[in-house]
Amino acid sequence: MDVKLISSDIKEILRYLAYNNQALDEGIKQQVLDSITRVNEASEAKYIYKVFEMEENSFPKELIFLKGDGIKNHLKGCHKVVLMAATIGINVERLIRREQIKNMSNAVIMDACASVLIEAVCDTVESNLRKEVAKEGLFLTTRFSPGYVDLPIEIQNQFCDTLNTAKTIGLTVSDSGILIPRKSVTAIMGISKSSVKKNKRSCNDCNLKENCRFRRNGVSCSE
Amino acid sequence: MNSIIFLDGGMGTMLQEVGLKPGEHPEEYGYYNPEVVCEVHEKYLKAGSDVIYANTFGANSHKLKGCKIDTKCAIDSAIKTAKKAIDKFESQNDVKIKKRVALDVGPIGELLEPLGTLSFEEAYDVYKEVMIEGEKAGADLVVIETFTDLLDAKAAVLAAKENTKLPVWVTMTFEKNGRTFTGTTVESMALTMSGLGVDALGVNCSLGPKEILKFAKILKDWTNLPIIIKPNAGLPDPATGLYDLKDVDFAKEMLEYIPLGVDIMGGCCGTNPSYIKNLVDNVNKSLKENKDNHEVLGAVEENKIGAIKNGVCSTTNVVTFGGVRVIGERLNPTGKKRFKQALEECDYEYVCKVALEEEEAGADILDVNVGIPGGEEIKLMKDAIKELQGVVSVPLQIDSSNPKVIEEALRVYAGKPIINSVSADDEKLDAVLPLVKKYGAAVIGLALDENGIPDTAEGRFEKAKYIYDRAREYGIPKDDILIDCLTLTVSAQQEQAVETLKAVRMVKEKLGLHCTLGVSNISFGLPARKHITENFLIQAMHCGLDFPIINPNVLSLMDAVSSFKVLSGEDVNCDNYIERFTGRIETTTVSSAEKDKSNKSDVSGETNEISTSVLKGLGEETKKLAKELIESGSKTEIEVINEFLIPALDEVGQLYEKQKIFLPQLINSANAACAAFDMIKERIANRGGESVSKGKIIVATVKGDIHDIGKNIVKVILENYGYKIIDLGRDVPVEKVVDTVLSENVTLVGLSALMTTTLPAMKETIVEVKKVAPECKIWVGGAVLTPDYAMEIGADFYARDARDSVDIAKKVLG
Repeated sequence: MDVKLISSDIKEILRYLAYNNQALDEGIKQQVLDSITRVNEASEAKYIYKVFEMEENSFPKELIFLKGDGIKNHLKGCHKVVLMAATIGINVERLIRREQIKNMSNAVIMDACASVLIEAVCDTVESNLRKEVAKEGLFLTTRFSPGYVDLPIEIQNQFCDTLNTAKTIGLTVSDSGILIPRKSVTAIMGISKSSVKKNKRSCNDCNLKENCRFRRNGVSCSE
Repeated sequence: MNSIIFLDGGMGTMLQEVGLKPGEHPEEYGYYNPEVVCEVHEKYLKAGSDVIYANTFGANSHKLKGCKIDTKCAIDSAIKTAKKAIDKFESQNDVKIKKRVALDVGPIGELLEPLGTLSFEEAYDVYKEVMIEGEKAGADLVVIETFTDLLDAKAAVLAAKENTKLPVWVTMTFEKNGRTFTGTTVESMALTMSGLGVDALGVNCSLGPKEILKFAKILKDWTNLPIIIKPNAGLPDPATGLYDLKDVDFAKEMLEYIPLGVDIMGGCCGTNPSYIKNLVDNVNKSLKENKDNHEVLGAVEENKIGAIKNGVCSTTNVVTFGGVRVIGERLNPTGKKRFKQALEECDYEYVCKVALEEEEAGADILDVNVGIPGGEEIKLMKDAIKELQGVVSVPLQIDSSNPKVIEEALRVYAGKPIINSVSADDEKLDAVLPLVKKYGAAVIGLALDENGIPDTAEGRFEKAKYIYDRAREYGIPKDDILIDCLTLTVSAQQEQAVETLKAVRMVKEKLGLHCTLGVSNISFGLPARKHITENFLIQAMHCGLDFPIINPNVLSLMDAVSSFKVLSGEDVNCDNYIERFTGRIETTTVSSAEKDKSNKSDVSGETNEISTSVLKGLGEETKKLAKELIESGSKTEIEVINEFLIPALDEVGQLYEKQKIFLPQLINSANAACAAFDMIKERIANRGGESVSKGKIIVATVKGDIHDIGKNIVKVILENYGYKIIDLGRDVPVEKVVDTVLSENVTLVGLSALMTTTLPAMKETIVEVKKVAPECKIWVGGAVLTPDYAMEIGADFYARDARDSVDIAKKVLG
């Protein structure tokens, strides 16, 4: 899979930088465009997913680490659950580290580019999968990740073990539960026989709501 | 050609078929179901495997966390099970060569520093336990497999070689682009692992036989060791996870490896006993049919041995020997006050910055010297190597005369470095050469001994010859020996320049060794040094100097190297030369155009010019203006800071607060101010004056957390307000913060954490600091924090952004 940033992603990248319609001179626009190019060059998107059968409200034995009401609600009415993981690779990590030493503002912009790119990768995986299940007349929920609502972030380890991500896509989990490379995502989706309402991500479910730098500036992290 | 050693196929695949669940630990499963594992082993033995891998891939203390069994239990049981299978098989069959059990060692699964948080030493300890238990349990050899990080693999190899007597095999896992997930190349693995003295090496997992073939060819070019190939059953379907090669096709594709001279074959994910049976039958049949033919091929292989490529490498980058390779000299405190200060303050960011400049200027290898009076050289060297290899990709040269420093650096270096240096004294040779051999490095020999530098070329040649002979006694390959014939200052000892050049020629012609020289020393004390340095460099290269140690930032020197490579024929078709100098013309044009533009904007700016250039983020401009103010005598350094730079930053800060500018613009302005600050700091350091610090501040990203970009922004901004920032980095242990607060007598500490999982570490850090230094103020920041929570965990202040941090610093330190 070869998902890359395109110049129209600038809007989204700026949103990650908490941009609020300040005047942009050519210099800074060029800085963002250059950052996009360099993140694209360094990135190697990889993903993996696995589909598990499930009973209403009850996970198979290997997924008992999925705890809390949030994920149960999310998967209401689903007969299958999909675990996915994606990363844009360690090279981007290196690039941003180097840039933090050379030019901090480039680093900040590249970090935002990388965030947008990993989201784009996940969106691509999700929509491809949605197309696949639609062929069988089935429906796919949106993504739900560890850290949303009451699904603890501490499950990253078991989550990644289940998909064997270290071996399959080079995604590891540190001792304190951090995904490395940092620009990586784990997420859960459900497959249902009946249409699922599109759970738009909302600020109400977000743990960062109280102190969100986006909200403070009157914007939001996603459209 | 000898016969081929056959390995087994997938274990996980087989166990999953009989009930192992994804995410479940195969070692735990094997412990409770030994008969199932035993049966798998037996099937492979029947299929023709000579070596079977025990079910110990994830049997280490990290992976087994939360399991009902520990490492010892898991390994003991798995090796016993494998041995039982062999006993049973051998009692029922007539076996010519005894079957062997390998202790299968997989990676811990956590990424090492600096990209991850696991330290080399922790990794080593984890593997050490595995190796010791494996040998005790009766394994016949160690197989370190499926590694993707060269340093991780090195930790495992050292753990095996230093704690057991078992043979050690290593295979790593590569992607289609010839790199592992962490960027290790096939060449780097071959150089590093051959150097460490493993018994066989190769590739496993990741891809099918067809895709791996090209890696096997590369391995043959870079090592004489037996090669192991253990591919998957083709490529997996991303949705089903099923592999696309059938057993017959797998075996057919594996035949391609016979003419290459691959010695050890097996299968990895997706393969089962039927794949191995097909493999064994097909390969044996082919060997028999083509016996005569292969003898001829075998002879070809013999001839090839002399042609093995050599070089040095980092994990991502190989520098091949054969031609001129520039070694950057700037990571060295001698005569560089700013660099010395950075080492005194353990400011590795500055060290990395200098390194990146050298790399970008085109240095092939970077010399690293951290010797400062009163400095802990071992710690400095180890930390510098760890930090450097996280950001630069060129190989490093470890520059120290202390064998202890050399050994510690050799351990943590991810690749094959050069050791600089050893002289022709037996005491030194006997201390350093064994390390060079053990860790598989290249080494620089200095053509001198305890009696000093010989005056004549012949005298230095004798010393070089002696080092060469001693190195050969230790089994160090000839191609890994570099001789430094020593550059003396021409203004002091004029006749010596010729002797040095003559010695280089003798060493090159008579011994056929590589030559290095610290070139710049020639011009010391002379005006317009670069002319002499350049001229000497060119003459020395003509005499055979192939590893000049120079300042790569001096354009004329790099130009000389580039030109030399054209004339020597190394730069085929002058491609690199053309690329270098075509680019040059363009740059000159652009930069002069830029100059015009900035000059024009100067004229238009009537108000405080510095504040305008800071606001616009123009670094060079800001520096120029500040310099003019100081040099014209109208303002002192301190006045420039207080009257111009800080007010300009305050103005930018207010614009940021009012959302007139956004984060990248704020940082661009900080960078611009920083250029002026650096100039001022350098001026003050050069005249030996007091630093301009307004007070010391510690910043750190807490233990367990690696999200440090926010902390680094805070650092950039605060530095520009004249505070001295002690940056402890990320994933910082509580004790390190506490110790630094005490040793540096710091009254303000900033902590950052981005994850809910690392907030407890933040709280613990605050509690411990307050215990020993109640008066020390602490401020915290990070996405998951709120003002309330910050107070709850005992912080004095909460900062929502870098701008807030400035106000806090002003409040506490003034």
